[in-house]
Amino acid sequence: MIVVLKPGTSREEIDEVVAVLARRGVETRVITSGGKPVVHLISGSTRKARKLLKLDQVEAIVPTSGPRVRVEGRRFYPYYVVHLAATAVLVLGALVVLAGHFPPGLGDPIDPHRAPAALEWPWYVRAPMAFVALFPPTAAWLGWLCLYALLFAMFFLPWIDRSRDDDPRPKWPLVAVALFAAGWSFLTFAGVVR
Amino acid sequence: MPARAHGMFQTFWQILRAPVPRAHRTELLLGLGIVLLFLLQAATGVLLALFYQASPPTVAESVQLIMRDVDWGWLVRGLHHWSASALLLVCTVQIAWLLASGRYRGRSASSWYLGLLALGLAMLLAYSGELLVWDDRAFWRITHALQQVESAPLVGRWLAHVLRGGEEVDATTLGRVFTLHSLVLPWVLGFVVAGEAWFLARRMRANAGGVA
Repeated sequence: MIVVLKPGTSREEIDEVVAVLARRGVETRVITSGGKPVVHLISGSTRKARKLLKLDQVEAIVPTSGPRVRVEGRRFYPYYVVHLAATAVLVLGALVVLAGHFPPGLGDPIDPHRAPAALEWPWYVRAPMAFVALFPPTAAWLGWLCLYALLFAMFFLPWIDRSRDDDPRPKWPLVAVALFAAGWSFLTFAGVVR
Repeated sequence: MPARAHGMFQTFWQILRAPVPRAHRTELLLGLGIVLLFLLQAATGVLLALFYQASPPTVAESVQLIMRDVDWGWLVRGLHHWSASALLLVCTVQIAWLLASGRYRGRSASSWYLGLLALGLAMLLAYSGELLVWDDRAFWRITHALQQVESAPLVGRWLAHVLRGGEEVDATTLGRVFTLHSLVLPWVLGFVVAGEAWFLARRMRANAGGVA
């Protein structure tokens, strides 16, 4: 397999590609073909090398044996446009059915002197409210602090995890999403809001 | 492509005909879902604003007018209500997918930040929209929410005062919520969604056209 680099790629950038391959256990040599720098993969996993297409410096990856396989994907028009239009019609249909069967209502007139016994919250705020309600009233601030810390950590995640796009995908986010989705769903449907 | 098509149309045609790298397929579909739901929200919102009156004595009357007397009013209001929930759901799925697939780092970080912003704005839009019916439930929801805002350190009291338009929840508060919901938040969300689309198109362009 040969990795064709874009014309004008500097020596440092070539070294960067070689270093990425070396990290993945692929042995290489750098040669010039038709005026373009190319990296010849001598041994190692070519499956991992295919991910190199994500790098800016890489123009194409050409196998030295077997047919050339295009990985550029289907064109947006017509393939995705047709599928998107079909999906949009289905979603719109579902929304029309929901609008017809569960119309948004209009509640009682305002009574500013008497708060309702139990306030009904929209589904998207039930989970955080129920999470805060897990703490005793005197320590409710701790619940809010946890929520703010979560928000803060999510916002600064790209700074916390400084790995690059082409580095192997870590496993922890998948586990975190699964646990978070389970906890959030439980709190939304079964949580008690004060 | 017709020979006479020039400039912007040519660029638009090139974008339509560009191949979508497999690595960006899911991100593109989720992004387009957000765009379509946002446009549905905007269109139905404009139609509702033609009949809605943001004044406490007439709110209930105008909402009933939309639901009973305006042609297809019930459908427009229902679509606006349910598409807000759908938009929130798609924004949440997008964030979960970005996290699970490790696309919160490196060059994809822009999608992560804008996705988080879009989620927050969609939530604010949905919440402020629920308050606009100005019934007993909406009144106590905003009263409770503003108490929470007030308890925040440093700027809490000031922010609650600005949002409430005084010391008590009244007609001024409704006016401010309506302004936020119909004039401020949709535009900000529109810019965020446009930014997401622009960054995604740029990354797709950088990644397109490879062979393996």
